[in-house]
Amino acid sequence: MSPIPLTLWTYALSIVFAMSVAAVIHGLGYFVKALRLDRNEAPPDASVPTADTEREQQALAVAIAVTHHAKRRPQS
Amino acid sequence: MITWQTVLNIFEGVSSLFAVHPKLALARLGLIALGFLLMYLGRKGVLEALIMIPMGLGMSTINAAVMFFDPLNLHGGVGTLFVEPQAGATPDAIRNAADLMTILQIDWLQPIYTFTFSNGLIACLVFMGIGSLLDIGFILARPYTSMIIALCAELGTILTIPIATAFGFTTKQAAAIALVGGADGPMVLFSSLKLAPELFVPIAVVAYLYLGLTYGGYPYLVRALIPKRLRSLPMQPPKNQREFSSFEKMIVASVSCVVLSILLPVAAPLIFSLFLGIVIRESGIKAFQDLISGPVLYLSTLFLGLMLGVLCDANTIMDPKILPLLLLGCCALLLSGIGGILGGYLMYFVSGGKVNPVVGIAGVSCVPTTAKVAQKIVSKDNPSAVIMPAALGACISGVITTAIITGVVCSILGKLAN
Repeated sequence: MSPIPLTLWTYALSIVFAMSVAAVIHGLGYFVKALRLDRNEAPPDASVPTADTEREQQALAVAIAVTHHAKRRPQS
Repeated sequence: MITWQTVLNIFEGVSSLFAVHPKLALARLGLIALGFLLMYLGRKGVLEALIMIPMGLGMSTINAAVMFFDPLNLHGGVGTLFVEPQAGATPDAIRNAADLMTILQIDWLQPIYTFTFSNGLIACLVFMGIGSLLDIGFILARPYTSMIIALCAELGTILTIPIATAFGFTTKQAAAIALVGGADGPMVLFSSLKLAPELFVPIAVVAYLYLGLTYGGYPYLVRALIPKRLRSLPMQPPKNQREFSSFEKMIVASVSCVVLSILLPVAAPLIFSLFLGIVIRESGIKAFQDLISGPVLYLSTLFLGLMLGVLCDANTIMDPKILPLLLLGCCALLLSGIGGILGGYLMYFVSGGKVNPVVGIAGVSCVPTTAKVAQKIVSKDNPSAVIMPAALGACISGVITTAIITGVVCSILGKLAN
């Protein structure tokens, strides 16, 4: 491809893509606001253990308690 | 018995000066001096210190530490123990692998060059770090204004393609050189690897040398093209401007990443890296943000500067293609600066005098240097005028438009023979 058509095509396509991105950015701002997706003011701290881990900890605590209880039962 | 030859063998750095062509020896001495000058200018704040100090020291040292050592017989019997960019560049795949393995076991910086530099990983890491420092809220406030200014600031990229072709470069090489006009270092590395790997080293060196110069040169361009009355124009926040939540910014960044990756898969690694940084910043994962914006960004920048410096050996710089590259790189950045200022004027007239035209220079996407330059110029003429938010919006949009142009050029030219 010769340089002039390449230049024109590149600039034209870049303008179309860049304005599409601007429209996406503009539109998404309104979309998120309209759906109130960000209504939870305080986002959870993503660096602390998740609910799954907490459940696992509870399950572990129950297992330990059961084992402890079983050990204390007199052997028949 | 110690003979003259023994002394010469001990001081190979000196004796190798006399073993090569005098032009090459002079170039080595000149580059040692240039390295010191870059370090001095970086330390003084005239050039970007983060790149220039490691680059300057690397440049001086690589030209000093030359010895009689050339395991691949590429440089007439002299070489260093730092890096060999040509290792593995022959058409024979088996010889390539053997050469590369030999050099990886000898040159101490070769693993960094081979595994992070020549495959674009370091560019992606720098982009990730830059992303984690960007607040996409500045674009959300003025998406169209920012994007139009950034598109105007790509004038240098667009016009340098035919100019470079007139200098005798192939279309692919011309496009790789022209992307210096986008003033986006990682993007220049990436595109030159994709389009003209044979010019990768000189283009990368020229690009980063000039990106340092934007800090010192653009204020003169702005003062020459924009009168003081307009430079001191204060900017008000846009009408009905609201606060954007982190969640909103995260959604916008994620969707923009996916949309741009669908449109331009060729530039997807860089686009993904940039938006990953933005998403991590907005997601509230502080540990990741601290990691990416601190150790990852600064380590990558340090090695980037160092690698650029050690690639500036006399053999590379004395390549006859370097002089036109220096001219074309300068031309691309000058035209981009002029285009950005024209974009600033365009938005000034369209907005009825509400946009300070100096914002235009920030459309040249040297994040965040050009935004800082724009604010510094305006503060000098009117200390109470704040244009930084608008300038950062244009600057970040500049990164996006440069990624778009890189993707378009790589997609169009990717399948062509030259």
